[in-house]
Amino acid sequence: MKVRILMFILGLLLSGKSIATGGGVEPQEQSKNVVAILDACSLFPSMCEVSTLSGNGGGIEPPAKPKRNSN
Amino acid sequence: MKDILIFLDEFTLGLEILALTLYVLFTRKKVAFSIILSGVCLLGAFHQWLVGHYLKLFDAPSYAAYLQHTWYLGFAITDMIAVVSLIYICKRNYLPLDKASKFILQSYLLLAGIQITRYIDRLVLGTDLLAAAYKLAIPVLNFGIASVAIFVVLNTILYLLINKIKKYRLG
Repeated sequence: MKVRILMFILGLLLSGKSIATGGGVEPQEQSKNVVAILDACSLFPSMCEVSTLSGNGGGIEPPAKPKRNSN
Repeated sequence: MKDILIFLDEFTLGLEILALTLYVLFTRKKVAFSIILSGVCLLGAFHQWLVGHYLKLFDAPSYAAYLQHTWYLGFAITDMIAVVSLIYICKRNYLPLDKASKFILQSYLLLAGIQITRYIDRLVLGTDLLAAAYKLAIPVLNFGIASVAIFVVLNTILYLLINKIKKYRLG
């Protein structure tokens, strides 16, 4: 029983990592959240320098407000 | 060094869940540490969901103000609520806090403090002095919490195994 639970946890760990790196899965096959992360990474590459999978936002910060045109 | 921290930070929630599972399997006791670790796992899962929700709005300029305010304060408030709730649960069940539990709770208070400080720095004062410190401090603390959890669990398991071996040899 203990071994089964450990295998399950290891599976979770490995699947978590594969999601974090894209895992060779095509975007259309992934969940909406993962697609959103991948899209956000392509739009804001600096954001993806830090992990997107940890607590407290992992040190990522939201982008600055767009500046208004004076014209 | 920074790359290693970031790489390890990706595994923090997984490590915490692994630590909790091992601890419960081997000790089968309701102690403050297992309650605190359960709370840490729940909070980590909630923060991941929150990050997923926020990331969808990163490319929408109309949500920029909402994102900026709720990002820092959202994490800070949930950290503080978690700490207060966990202390309340432990006190109600007459479970004294051990050193590791106190360290984890203090780390979450520190994380909340960092979020509020960065909020004031970036959005209230507009000085933007703490960007680099924020980017590094959060993953370091996250990994510190996971490391302490794993260390305590491995230490406990080792202690239990040595005791079992000693009993087996004597019996």
